[in-house]
Amino acid sequence: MILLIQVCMGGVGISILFCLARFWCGPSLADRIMAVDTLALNLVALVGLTAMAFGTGTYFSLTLVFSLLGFLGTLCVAKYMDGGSIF
Amino acid sequence: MKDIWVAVFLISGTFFLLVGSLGIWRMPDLYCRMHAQTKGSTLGIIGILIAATLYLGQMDIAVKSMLTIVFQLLTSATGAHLMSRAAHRQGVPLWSRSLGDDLK
Repeated sequence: MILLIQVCMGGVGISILFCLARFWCGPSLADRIMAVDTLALNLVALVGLTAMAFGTGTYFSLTLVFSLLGFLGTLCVAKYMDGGSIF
Repeated sequence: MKDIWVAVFLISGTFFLLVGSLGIWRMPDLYCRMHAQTKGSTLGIIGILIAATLYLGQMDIAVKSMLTIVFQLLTSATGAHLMSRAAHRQGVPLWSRSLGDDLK
């Protein structure tokens, strides 16, 4: 089981590399923000896998935090791109 | 028996995450990329969180994982819609082989 968890961590790492590549050469601002949002989702998955590998649920609240922060960032930048006031 | 279900959810979750991120890198257009990202990453998150819940088997982890799944299902579509609408208003071009533009 621990080997499977490590292989899945490798897969999530590869998808983080894809997101970083899109963040590096995204043509528009929305591409980059979308890449950062997906990066936050991949971090949520990585926290889940880390909790499985360590066998403890100490860090599991980080999934909620990363999910919330990714959505909040997307929301703020979308409002900023629309030209409205953020708050 | 539990290990089989954990392995199934773990492999499917990682597969969907990988497909979503590959779609972000390979799709031709911002809107196509957003489509791939929203569906794929949400399914991948759901699979991996369910696998972690089954593997660890504690109640607080189940509650947190359920909260994250529900929140992700609610906010993924909302964020993608907001972002694509803002990008369309800003004038991000569509793919040259797109069939139509309903917002124009």
